[in-house]
Amino acid sequence: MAPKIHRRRFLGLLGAGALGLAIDPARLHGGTGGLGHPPQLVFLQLTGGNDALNTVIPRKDPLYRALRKELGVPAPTVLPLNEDLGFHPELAPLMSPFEQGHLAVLPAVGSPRPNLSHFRSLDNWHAGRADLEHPKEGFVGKALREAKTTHIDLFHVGEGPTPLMFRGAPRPVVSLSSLDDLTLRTPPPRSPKGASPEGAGGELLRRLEAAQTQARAMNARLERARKATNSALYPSFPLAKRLAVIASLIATAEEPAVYFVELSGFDTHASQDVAHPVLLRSFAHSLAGLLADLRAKRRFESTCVAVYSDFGRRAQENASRGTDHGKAGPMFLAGGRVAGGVIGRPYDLENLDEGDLAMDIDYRSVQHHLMGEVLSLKNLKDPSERKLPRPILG
Amino acid sequence: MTHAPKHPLLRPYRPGTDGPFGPEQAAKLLRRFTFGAPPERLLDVASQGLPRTLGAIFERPPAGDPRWKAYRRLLTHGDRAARRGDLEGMQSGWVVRMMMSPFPLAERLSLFWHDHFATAASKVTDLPAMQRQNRLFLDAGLGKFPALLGAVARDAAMLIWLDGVTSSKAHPNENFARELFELFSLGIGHYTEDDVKECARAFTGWRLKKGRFHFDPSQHDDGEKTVLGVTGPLKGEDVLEILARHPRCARFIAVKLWTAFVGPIEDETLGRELGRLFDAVKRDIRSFLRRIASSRGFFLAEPLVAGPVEFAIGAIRGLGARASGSRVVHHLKRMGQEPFNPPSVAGWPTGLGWITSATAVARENFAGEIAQGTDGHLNLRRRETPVDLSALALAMTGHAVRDPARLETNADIFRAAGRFVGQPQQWIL
Amino acid sequence: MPNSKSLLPVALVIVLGGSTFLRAQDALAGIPPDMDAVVTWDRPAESVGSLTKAPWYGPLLQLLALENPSAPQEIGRFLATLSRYNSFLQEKIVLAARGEGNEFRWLAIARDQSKLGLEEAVTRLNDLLNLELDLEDVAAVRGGRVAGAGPGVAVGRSRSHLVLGATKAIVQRALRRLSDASSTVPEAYRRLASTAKGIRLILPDGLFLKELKSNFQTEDADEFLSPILLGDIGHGLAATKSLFAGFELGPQPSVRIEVDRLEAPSAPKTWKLGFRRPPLLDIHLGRDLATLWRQRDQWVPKAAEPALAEFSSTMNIFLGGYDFDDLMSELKPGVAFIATLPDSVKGPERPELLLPSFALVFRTKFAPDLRDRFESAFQTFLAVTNANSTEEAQQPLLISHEKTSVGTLCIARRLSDPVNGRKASEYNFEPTLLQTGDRLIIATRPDLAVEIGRLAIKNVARQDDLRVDGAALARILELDRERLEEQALVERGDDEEGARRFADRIIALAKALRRLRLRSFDEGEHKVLSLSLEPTKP
Repeated sequence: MAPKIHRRRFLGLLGAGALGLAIDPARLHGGTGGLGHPPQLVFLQLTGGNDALNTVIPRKDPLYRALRKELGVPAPTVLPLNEDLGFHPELAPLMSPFEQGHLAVLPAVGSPRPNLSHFRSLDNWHAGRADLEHPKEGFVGKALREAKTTHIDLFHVGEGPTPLMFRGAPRPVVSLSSLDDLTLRTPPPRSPKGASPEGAGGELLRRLEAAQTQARAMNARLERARKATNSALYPSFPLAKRLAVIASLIATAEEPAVYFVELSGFDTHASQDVAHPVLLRSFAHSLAGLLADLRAKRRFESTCVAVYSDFGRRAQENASRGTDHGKAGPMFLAGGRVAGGVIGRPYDLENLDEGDLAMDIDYRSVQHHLMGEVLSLKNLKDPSERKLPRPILG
Repeated sequence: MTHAPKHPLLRPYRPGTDGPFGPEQAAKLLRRFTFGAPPERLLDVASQGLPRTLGAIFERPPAGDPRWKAYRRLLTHGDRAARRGDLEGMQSGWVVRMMMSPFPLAERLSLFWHDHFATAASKVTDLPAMQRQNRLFLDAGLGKFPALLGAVARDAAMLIWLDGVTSSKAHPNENFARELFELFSLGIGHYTEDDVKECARAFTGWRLKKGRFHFDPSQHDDGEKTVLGVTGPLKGEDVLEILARHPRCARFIAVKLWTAFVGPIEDETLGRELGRLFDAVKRDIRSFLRRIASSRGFFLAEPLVAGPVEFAIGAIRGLGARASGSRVVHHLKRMGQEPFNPPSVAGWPTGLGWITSATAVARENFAGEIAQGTDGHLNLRRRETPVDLSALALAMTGHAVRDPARLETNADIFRAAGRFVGQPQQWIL
Repeated sequence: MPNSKSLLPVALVIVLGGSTFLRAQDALAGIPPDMDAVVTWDRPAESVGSLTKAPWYGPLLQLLALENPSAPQEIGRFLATLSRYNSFLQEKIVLAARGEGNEFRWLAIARDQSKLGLEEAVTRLNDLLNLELDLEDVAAVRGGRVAGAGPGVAVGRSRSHLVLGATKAIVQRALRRLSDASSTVPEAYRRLASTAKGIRLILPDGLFLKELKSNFQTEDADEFLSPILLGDIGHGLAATKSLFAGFELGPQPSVRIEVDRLEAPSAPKTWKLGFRRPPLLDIHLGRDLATLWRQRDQWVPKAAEPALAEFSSTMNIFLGGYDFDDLMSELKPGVAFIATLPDSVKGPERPELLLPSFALVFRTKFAPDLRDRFESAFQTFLAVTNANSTEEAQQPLLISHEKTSVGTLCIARRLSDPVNGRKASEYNFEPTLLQTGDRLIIATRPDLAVEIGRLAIKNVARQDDLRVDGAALARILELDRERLEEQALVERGDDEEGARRFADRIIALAKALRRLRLRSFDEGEHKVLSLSLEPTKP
């Protein structure tokens, strides 16, 4: 016989039990975190352009229903954040951090001069600029260089090239997708003396050799990180696996560190009703797993996770049950010291910017605060045009 | 060819006057355009002088050449693998093609265009379509660029990849239109958002039927549009025609080819001159490449970081060896270049972007297997007679080594080669 | 079945999990050559307890009992110990055992990730097993240190491995071997095989097969293990595409290889379902589910399109939370898509969905692993469907379970309408999940799921026994020679001459066979594909 389960409760169940997550609520509340540990900043990029209006939802706005006839999330299922806004139901695992004041939601972060190309938009985001062609330097790299900081580690957890945000940093970036990646399996024999070529390639060669040295040096550190791995808290999504790697690195960190990790697939031009909830679920459960693990490892206080995307998506849905590239979109900031709540104004759907959400906060302002408040870097300039109304940390 | 380039770097390289032409220069040409060659061949080529070397690179061996027989079987193998949904079979097949093609330039270009029109099997999932696209790059990759672009626009894998198949008259999908301008033909800054929107309309109705290109007039928007300054009831063909004459398109492609095969471009004039040169050769890719391969700029160019395919295939070709295709694919994935699966529509990284801690380790692990030779997973086999180490290193790096120790057996060669391949000096072209 | 005496596998190797074998290779090196039962295990030690539930566990014990009657008891006790002893046996355990006279010796080697010292290991062992191993009695031996002399347990520690064994001597030997270990997987295998009269392998997945293959590639025809490549030879054998293991055994030629199939041989012709009513659509695929799915608009009748769209989102959500490509490759082995004509709809109200009945039938070797995932995906789907339902009066879909002769159905139904007190319409949409054997059936109605379930079960038994005589096989291979050669060109990187030789060798091998039999059956969680080769009499 069918058991009677109320819908809300059912969704709640899905949040933990049904997906096999072993998140102990007691653990979410326990632990004072590890003050005194070096600060750790994690950038989680939702690549492809996350749809703002179906992530942080204007739950009472009739214009939302009009713009999203097919894709609109039914009002009763939206998880309320405040009077105006609510989470998509798949973000249920993030409700608890939000309610505890450890998750800040910034609804409409964007650029004053938005670009609708993925590559340009992300390049600009990573460069911490609004309109630069072929940026050579990332905002993290630049901030570190200007602050003359060398005691910091930079990690790229995932496949693909090193993220632009790190470029220009006075420290090399370590790329890995699992802890096994940096294991030398069949080391080649040592090079004979005098075998290096003469002449050509000088500077290039030096940089390649530095990369090789760096790779080898990582082995010892990773051996320790491997031992700190706690897979029980994470669901089986690929993102969760990467976040678990990050948690292990954080647990063994002796220096401040910045991490970059991404979840792609947000370019939902078609069938968004199917793809987007799945992506949000993967995102929310994985992030919740990371936060729980950081608490267990007593690194919750020292860590801040910043979530962003290329851009938001067009307010009006398209005919393929999808949405096209747009402008502003939400950012999330999570961590033990983050002062949670909604930062910034609710969406203004009556005054769209060429059919897109208008920017409320300049992403460069958020970056500026992350560099200054979380990493305590000095001598930073804030080039942003619409600034954060309050600090990030409490 | 009547066009005489003004830019000093584009003038023909005159051996003797501009510099030498020896094994080092021959190696550079062969490495960058043909994935390298074994030392025997290298010394042979160098002694023949520049013009004949260029001929060996740019002229297709006659159809009667016995080496084509085995090569054609590899192509059939790939087609079959695609039909039975075996992506790894396709990847291995292509990798072995690159290893043993009698005309490696065509394969080098199939790799180049795969990167330029980066399409990934992970989204397309129709493997026969991916294989057909690969054959397209192989067959048309050295021809005229407008023809290639036209064929790509009608290519099934591309139509799936950039959502052409879901674009409709009422709701044109802008994905293909945007990348057509931004990545495939003009580059950012040379078109407007309106161009993208109007172009998307022009390509409506370009659909698939039974997996093949099909024009559906009922889905085509035949209204008036303005694309790149041309107004009319434009069709997809018309946009392609506009691009075929667009000077920025010639320059964009010419610069991209130069960047990939020669090196970075610092000054504006060179870019402009390259565009003119590409137009002067009627946008014929092979002629253009031949011109830049014989230019002074090429021989003066600084080293380039070898991408994983160039690195791995180069090492194996440089050894005059054969290797297990599936094992090479295994390594390529770890080095960051899985054939048929570029990371995004922008293609793979370039230059130092290839080198991360993980990929550096992967390159060393590959070298470790080279050193294992015939006993290792790579299953290396080498039939040519043993050569001395310096010639071998020359083949693989273009640079002489001081230690000319003679090597007696193939196992010695592989062991020594492993030692070299693991060094960053071997990661450059 | 040949009599048990001649076929008794004296060496028995059981490999569990994907690439276990390679990852366990360093531990394997520590097994002395006269140990003749080897189990490798790469799950975390807390699941060692479940080892006893594994399908091969019973036969293993019987086998050992032939040589030593007390072995089952001993090894059972040992495994029970291991299952409690999980703090440093984090993964990768190799077990070996040998009965000899009245003595039963065993040895377990774990790649120890925890880096616990010997002293701590001894302390924990003492606590756990009520032993009294003496910490003073630690001896340094080559390759590590060993503590022991207790009743039946000794413990040793090398830099990388923790070794537990029946006696101090055997632990000492293992440590020595580990320190000398230069042997590669093929060598370790060869060594095991050289003492064997027969070998039985259970290889659970393609990844492992690939690794095995690359390890067994060898040019030397005289080698004890010579490779067989079975390419795409007829649809029946397509399943063994990656099977490269070949064993030519001992003085009494008797060969037996059992391999878990990579892809089920469910080619269209062999898997016909006989329907009561003519189906609207009945498509069977051996593979390439992804293409089928993507091109669905090309083969679905116009009338069924809207319904299919609905079903498509259903499926997508089913797959939700799990990487679509991953799932596709796991579900690859065979899928049937069946649609019947719309059933007549009973009930006083107009149903909100007018679907023909649809079902997707997957055949998956991972079905047990995926069961929970599918159940939760199914629930997720219902939750989303419920959440998206716009009509206020709409009853949510709720799950109920129903036992049938083919298995337990997981059905989503709407409750009766409490407002009007009427019985709910019998809608034609009651999504149902059924797992039976290796089939996963997702249907829009329970009765269709049952119908297919019944047919599917019947069909499994019938199809999976294929006998080919050696000459016929050789002929098939000869016809397929071109492809065999191509495969050698690509996979092995052979030149044409080498590829030809390779094909020759395989065909010669086939010719030397009297008969080949391919069959598949369930063995607990494994689908076993058994390939038996009977050589002609010498």
